[in-house]
Order: sequence, then C-alpha cells, then structure tokens
Amino acid sequence: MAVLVNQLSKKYAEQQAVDGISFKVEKGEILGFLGPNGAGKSTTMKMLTCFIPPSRGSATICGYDIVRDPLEVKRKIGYLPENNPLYYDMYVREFLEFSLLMHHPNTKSKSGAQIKSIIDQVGLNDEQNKKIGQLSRGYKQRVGLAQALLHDPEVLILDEPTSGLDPNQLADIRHLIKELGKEKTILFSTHIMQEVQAVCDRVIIINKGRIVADDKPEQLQSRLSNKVAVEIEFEQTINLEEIQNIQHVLSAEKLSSKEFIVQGEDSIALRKALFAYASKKNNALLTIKQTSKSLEDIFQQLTNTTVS
Amino acid sequence: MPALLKKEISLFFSSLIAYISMGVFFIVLALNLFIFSGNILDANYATLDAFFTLAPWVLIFLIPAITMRTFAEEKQNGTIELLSTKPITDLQIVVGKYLAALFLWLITFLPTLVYFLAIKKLSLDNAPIDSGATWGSYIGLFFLGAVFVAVGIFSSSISNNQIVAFLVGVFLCYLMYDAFAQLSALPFFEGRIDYIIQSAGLNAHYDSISRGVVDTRDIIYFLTIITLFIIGTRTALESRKW
Repeated sequence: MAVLVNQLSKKYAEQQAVDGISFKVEKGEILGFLGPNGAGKSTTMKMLTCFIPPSRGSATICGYDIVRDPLEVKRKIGYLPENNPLYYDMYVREFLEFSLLMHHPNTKSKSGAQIKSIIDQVGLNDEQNKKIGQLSRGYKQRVGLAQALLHDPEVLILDEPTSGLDPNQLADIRHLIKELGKEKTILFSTHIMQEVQAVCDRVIIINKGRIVADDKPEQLQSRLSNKVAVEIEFEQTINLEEIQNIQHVLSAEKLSSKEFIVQGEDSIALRKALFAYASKKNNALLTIKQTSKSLEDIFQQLTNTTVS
Repeated sequence: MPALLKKEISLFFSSLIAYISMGVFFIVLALNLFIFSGNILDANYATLDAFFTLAPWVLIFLIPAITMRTFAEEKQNGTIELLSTKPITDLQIVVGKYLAALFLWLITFLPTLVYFLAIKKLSLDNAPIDSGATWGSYIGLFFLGAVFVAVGIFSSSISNNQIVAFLVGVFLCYLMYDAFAQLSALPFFEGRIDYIIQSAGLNAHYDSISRGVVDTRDIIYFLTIITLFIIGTRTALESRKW
C-alpha cells in the first residue's frame, strides 16, 4: 500500500479543516482528490507531506508514519504545493540542482544527467537558463513539477497542478501526469471535473473535511446516474417540502420559487407522479425536462449542502 | 544542508541588498575612520578604537538588513513549504540559514582588516600598534556580529513581512547590545544586581574581549546567546504545527 490514511483530522483554532478521513491508495494508482475550495484538500496534503501534523488520526506513506518518520516520508514523496511556490530569483537549472541536492547530497556526478532528463520530460529545454521569475505561468508550473519529479519519488502529491494553465498546457500536464502514473502512485487535487475523468483511476470527493464519495469515475457516474433528474417548472409558486413529499421523488433542489430539479429512480414513474400532482393541485406544469447527470452535477450534488 | 547553504548564499548575492549593505558597512566606517573630522589622521594615535566603537552601531542596522529575508520571504512566498517538505529537519533549516548568514557576515567583516594594515603602514617609524587589543577587538566584533545574525534570523522567523523583520531585528539587536548597560546605569540598580544586568548585555562582553584578553566566559556567553536565538527561531518555525 503506497498511501494509507486512517481517521486523519486537522483542527485549526476555530475550524475543523479535515474531519476523520480514511482512504488507501494502491501502488501505481492515480487518485484524484476533488472538492470545492476550502474543503480540506490542501490541508490533507500538507499533513501527508509532513508540513503540518494531524490533530488526530494517522497516515503512512510507503509504510512510514508521517508523524514518527517524517524524514523517510519526505524522501519517498515528490510534492508540488498549492500555488506552486518557487524561488523566483534562481535560475531554472540552479533551482533543480538545489532540489536534487536536498534529496541526494552525495550524487553530484549523476545529477547532471538526471536534471537533463527531467528538463526534457517536462519540456523546459528552451527555458532552462532563464530565471524562474521570468517564466510564464505554465512554465513555472513545469518547474514545480520537475522539482517534484526530480529525485524519482515513489509517491507524487500534487496540489492543483493544473490551476491557471491555458488549454494546451492543461492537456500537456494531464498527459504528463498520466504517463507518470504508469510507474508512480499519484495523489492530486483539483476542482476541475474533466480532469478527473481524463486522468484518474479513482476519485475521492471531499467536502467540509469529510469524504463524500470514493469510487472510480465511471462508477461514480453510473451509481448516481441510475437516478434520473428532471427539471420542472410550475405555473405557480410551490414549496420545496411539498415537492419532496411527492411519490417517487427522492430529492429535490430549488432553482427558483417555481423551478426545481427533482430526482428519482424510475424516470417514467417520477414524471407520471409529477403530472398527477400538478393536475391535483391545479398548478400547471409548464416545463418538464429530463437532464442527464454529468460528473459535474454529481460533484455539485455531493458538495452543495446549502440548498436554499 | 550544504545545498541549502549554497542556495542561501547564491540568492543573497543575486539581490542588491547584499552589495548595498556590505558597501555601506565598509564605506561608512572608512569615512569615519580616515576622512571625517576627528579622524585618525588628525588624532595622531595609531589605534582603531574609533572603528570598534562605531562598528557595533552600524551592525545594529546592517545585520538585520542582511537577515531580514531569511524566513520572512520564504513564508511570504510559500517557499517555506517547499523547503520543509524536503528531507531535512527544521533545526537543519535554521542552522543552515544561520551558517549562510554568518558566512555573509564574515565576508562583510574581512575587508575591514585592511584598516588595520593601513594604520600599521601609516604609523611613523613602524611605531607599535597595540596588536593584542586590536585582535581582541576584531574577535569581539566578529562574535558580536555572529550574535546579531542569530537575533536577525529569529526576527525574520516571527514575521512574514521583511520590513517588520528588519525593525524587530534592529530593536532586539539594540536591546541586546546597549539596553542592559543603560539599565544597569539607572540609580536604583546597585552593587551586584547592577553587575549582573550589565553582564547580560553584549556590550560588557564586547568591551571585555576588546581589551585583548579572550576570556572563555565571554566566548561562552556569545555562544549561549546564539544558541538561544537559534532555538527560538526553530520554535517560531515550528509554530505552524501548533
């Protein structure tokens, strides 16, 4: 087991940032860590990389405990922190040499070849003699990735590796992550759904510090899409509670005072029940439209707990 | 740690602060020693006393300027997270940064040995200069700077704003250097208490070493203060874990 997380929690002064999450990542798996901003993704990653200790719970990386063996854990991981902090006054090559020496102080002879191969891999060839501060955002991101990959770590922890990239760069970086995932265990966070669909073997959705879903992307989709969602519009105002009480309705979400999205298991029974209800109440049903659930909707449904 | 040391020094020299602070130190002291009124050429004594009296006051401002970036900038930019998640302990980070800053202080300090040679050459008929006291003073000044470096790094670790780090550093350096001596001079401290307060400050030990007697007690005092501030820095760095 590459990563094993058990009841990990982090409480800041006022706020429970991460609340008892547990999961495993197999060797060679790409795990997408998904959640809205402030869900606790970064905090979890900071704990796994030994930057901050957990308040409760434990985790191991390649068998090493994050609290007891931080140095061993840090040797096993490559980490790209949130917002990709870098030393802007350093040259690309100089910075990569520094990063490598921090991991392997005694491998000066080999370092040249190793750095060159990473520079090729992430596509920094033309930029390697520039100062990091002069690079565009996409290239800075590549430097951050190069820094995480350089020492050939077993586990890669990438905190929003694709944020702020243009579509071409996005595709490049995703492709790179996918390539890397053939050999390495990767845990990466994002709030972009397509990324998860494109790259991940498995996805964990986290919200308010808790895991709300943990599954393969396709299964997550099919698990929730055997429910049907129907968008409806009534002529007159109607309460959410009333809709929820209609037969076959499993859940309902209010869009406006007259418009709702309702979910049920049986599409036909659900729509029939809605019609029956409308005619009984003499409240005409103006729209009824079946909507398909994308992973995006699932994400919203799982993380949006403040339905008004 | 060697990698960290190298990075710190190379980053320092990639900024203008390095050249300005070192230049200012050398020039201010040279002006005062050789050119401004009351300079050594008018005084007709082959002694560097003027230099050793002024130098600590320049250092109070200069060293916090050298050290203000060390942690404040890393915290501001978030690179501290990058650094802390490399296989290195917090203490190694602090010591590495301390040694790098100490090296910078050494580079600033060494050119002032030229003053000594200049005065030796200028003295009539090779009149003897008090070498003992001069070397003692140089050693004292180096240790004084070494303490200020520790104080400066600590100040940088408690803020993520470089200006705040600089000002706190200046304040603490002043406090360590002169405040205890001033305090002991107040009339309500008498006898033994007076002496203890005075000994708590850097000034007393700097003066003592400057007389040309390198007393182990003074050296131990300097090393103790350095250690305390290094531990303080590590504590500040680890406060993210609380």
